[in-house]
Amino acid sequence: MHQISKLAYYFVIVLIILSINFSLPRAMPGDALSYLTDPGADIPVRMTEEKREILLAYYGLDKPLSEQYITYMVGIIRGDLGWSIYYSAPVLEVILGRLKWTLILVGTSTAIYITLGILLGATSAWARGRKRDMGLLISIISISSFPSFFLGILLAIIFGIKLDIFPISGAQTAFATYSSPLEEIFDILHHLVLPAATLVLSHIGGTYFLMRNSMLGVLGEDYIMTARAKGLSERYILHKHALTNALLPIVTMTAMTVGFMIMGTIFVETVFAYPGIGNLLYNAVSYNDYPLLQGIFLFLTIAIVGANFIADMIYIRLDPRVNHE
Amino acid sequence: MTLLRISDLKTQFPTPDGIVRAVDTIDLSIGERETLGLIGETGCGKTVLGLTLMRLLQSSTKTEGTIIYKGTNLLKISEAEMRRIRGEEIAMILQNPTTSLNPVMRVGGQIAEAIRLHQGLSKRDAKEKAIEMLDAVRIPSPSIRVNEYPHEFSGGMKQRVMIAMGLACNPSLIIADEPTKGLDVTIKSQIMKLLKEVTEERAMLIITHDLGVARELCDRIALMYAGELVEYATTGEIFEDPLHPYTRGFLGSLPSNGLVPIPGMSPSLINLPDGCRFHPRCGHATELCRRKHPDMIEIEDGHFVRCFHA
Repeated sequence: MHQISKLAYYFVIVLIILSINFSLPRAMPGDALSYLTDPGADIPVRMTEEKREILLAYYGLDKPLSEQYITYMVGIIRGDLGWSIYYSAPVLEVILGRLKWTLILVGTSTAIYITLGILLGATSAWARGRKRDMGLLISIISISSFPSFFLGILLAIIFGIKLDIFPISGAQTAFATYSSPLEEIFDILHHLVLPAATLVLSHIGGTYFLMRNSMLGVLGEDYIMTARAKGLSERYILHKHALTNALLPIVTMTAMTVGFMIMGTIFVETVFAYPGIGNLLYNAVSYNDYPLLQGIFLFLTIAIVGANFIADMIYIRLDPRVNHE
Repeated sequence: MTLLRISDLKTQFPTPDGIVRAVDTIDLSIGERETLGLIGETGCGKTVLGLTLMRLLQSSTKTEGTIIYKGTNLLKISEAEMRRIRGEEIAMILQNPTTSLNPVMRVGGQIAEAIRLHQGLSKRDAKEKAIEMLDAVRIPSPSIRVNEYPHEFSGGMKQRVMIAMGLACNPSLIIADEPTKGLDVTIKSQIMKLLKEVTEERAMLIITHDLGVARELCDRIALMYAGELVEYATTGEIFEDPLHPYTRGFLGSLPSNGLVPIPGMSPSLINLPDGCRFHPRCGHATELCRRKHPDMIEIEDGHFVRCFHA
């Protein structure tokens, strides 16, 4: 029952997002042809009123909004997200072609930065005020103060150009033929190192600081004292009593930062010419490819809603109090 | 026979504002199967004394004196040896059961972990033992409740769980910090009945500000004021022949004795008054009390008091 109402709740959210996605471009001044006819455009196109109307009718933009809305929704249900102007291909096809790479990049780096952030944050809290804590604190503050594109360029210069151990562009060696699938996987991982490292380094701070703080709070709780009074070892108390409690805010934060993570990939994928969604979004903006832009936004919002849904499910597993409230 | 003897015990916390002398030169002893009540106002250092006995205070705390338990000085042994004592030999029931139970761990698991640690039982046997413990503290349908989480228990039930946790390894001494705080009257009397049974088989130190609880449960009572003991005698003597003005004031503040409050506030443990620590609030204070700090003297056999005029 609980799960069902949760699902219904997320369904409503997706519906609202779709409606905003539909209305946002239509709320902007001008119409779909403005970018062509605008005198400020790269190559302004002259168009008679008659021609304009024919074109708008062709795209279905002369119909009333309610009718356009229904067409849009039906299109989405059918998986039709429109036609990309720049790539001259269906938007869905363009996005799906890139999605794999972003999933690999974002997936790997998210898994790494969260695991590392939790471990380092817990270590720091446990060694509070001692050398190990101070060392971690200072290094992570320093790393976190660099913007991600700068970190990316720095890593590319050091490890890609000076030391020449990692490739600095693309997701695979261009035109390569592989003798075995293992070789292909290795090539992909080899290309993944620098962009993933950049994302990990630029995101680890958030998780680390939250974990450190949360852990410090938990270590001061009465139930930790109770555990000590039972004669349990510090290590056992850390694992069995402190960790689960300290993880609760991390779950929420991770879901909320998925959006920021994707923003981060725009810079990182651009720096490393990684063929993912971030790179595609950058291109879509550069070429005023509105249908593509809308399609990407739709995917991003679904990703964020999905992440929140997963976080909700994990939270229920971790905290027995949530299920009953 | 004496189970625990505390001599010259001092616990001090260095803070930026000065040294907090939370426990100041305390001498106490608890015999086997004896129940001692440690009574005082909030902030007099009674909880700190309990935590000092368990060595559960942060490492910056300074502790001096001796705590002899079964012939061993607890302040001299290693942390690993102390961990063997905690839970197994001396158990502590912390105050506030609501915050003292881990909210994301099953109640049974929290009882069983000490049993598994100290008695080396298997997971399954430890769970059986946990069910037995819940049954012993009169929690209905213990085999179901053992799998529940603390938020599914009421306040009084949580206190029972805390007691079950303390009893789990059958320790020789239990330190119970405010075991009846925040419970309503009916629940309180049930918990007291349970504690009464607990005291029959082992030594117990009950830390409380509730004289009613102490009268019901304790063989002897020690009154603590501003970090030091001011009177120490059998429960009967404390109630029938209180010698220290603070003890009399404390008794007078009971609802049954007219609810007369002691004037003034207890002093800060950083800035203690000169002379007798109670003199600013005492109706009988003389010049001597303002100048000189009184020693604890034995007025009658086993009745100690820290007052010039007793």
